[in-house]
Amino acid sequence: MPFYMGIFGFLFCFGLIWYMFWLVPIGFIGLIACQISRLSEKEPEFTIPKAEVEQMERHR
Amino acid sequence: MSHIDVFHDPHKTYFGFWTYLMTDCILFSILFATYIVLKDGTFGGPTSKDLFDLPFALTETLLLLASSFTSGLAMLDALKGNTKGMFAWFALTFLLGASFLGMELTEFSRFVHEGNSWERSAFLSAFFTLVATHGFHITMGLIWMVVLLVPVFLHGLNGEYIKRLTCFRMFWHFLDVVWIFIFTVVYLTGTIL
Repeated sequence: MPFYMGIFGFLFCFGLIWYMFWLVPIGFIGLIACQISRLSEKEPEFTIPKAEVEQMERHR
Repeated sequence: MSHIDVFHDPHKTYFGFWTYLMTDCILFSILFATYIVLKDGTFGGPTSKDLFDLPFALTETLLLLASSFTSGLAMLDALKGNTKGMFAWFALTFLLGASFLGMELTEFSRFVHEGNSWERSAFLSAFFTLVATHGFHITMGLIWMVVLLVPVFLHGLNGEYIKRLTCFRMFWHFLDVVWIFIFTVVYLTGTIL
């Protein structure tokens, strides 16, 4: 997802800088679509418990 | 073992969002200070008394206040879990916000067509910077509202979405407060004093 977002962001900015205005709405709509799909993820945050961090650190 | 903790203390998020709002407040206070300093720098051009139309600005204010009120009603419905009512109130909020934006752009285009664009004088530069920054925030808020509501439409309400909508509502009320200051400082004192 961050990869596609980067692509659309690149298209958006490239279009603006080089006056290719047909490219601008494509990039912008793509960015909005990426945002919506990112916000639709069921589990946007998770917590790593203390015990697990300790275990991982001990493994090293 | 479940790692999912969607319902962690939302107050951290709200505090972070307040911090963002206060940085925005600094931005607006700088623009207000600039406007007050440059208000009389008309360079022989029209003054605020010649330009501003108080009833027009009052209509804009009422539209924005109404949209803030309906966003509050939408949140009440969201907290009750009444998704249909929430969508109806948010649709009304969007319409009121969009008509506010439309009125603001009408005013801008009238000024520019009369030859009073931001290039005319220091007063008009400061005016356009201040009011258009607010208008830009409103535009972003409208896009944000749609982006937030699509996932709610697809998956229904949950604690995470309530948290996001609360942040949005804080943003919307903040813009309303900023507009009240613009109405007082720019339009009211500009036409009466």
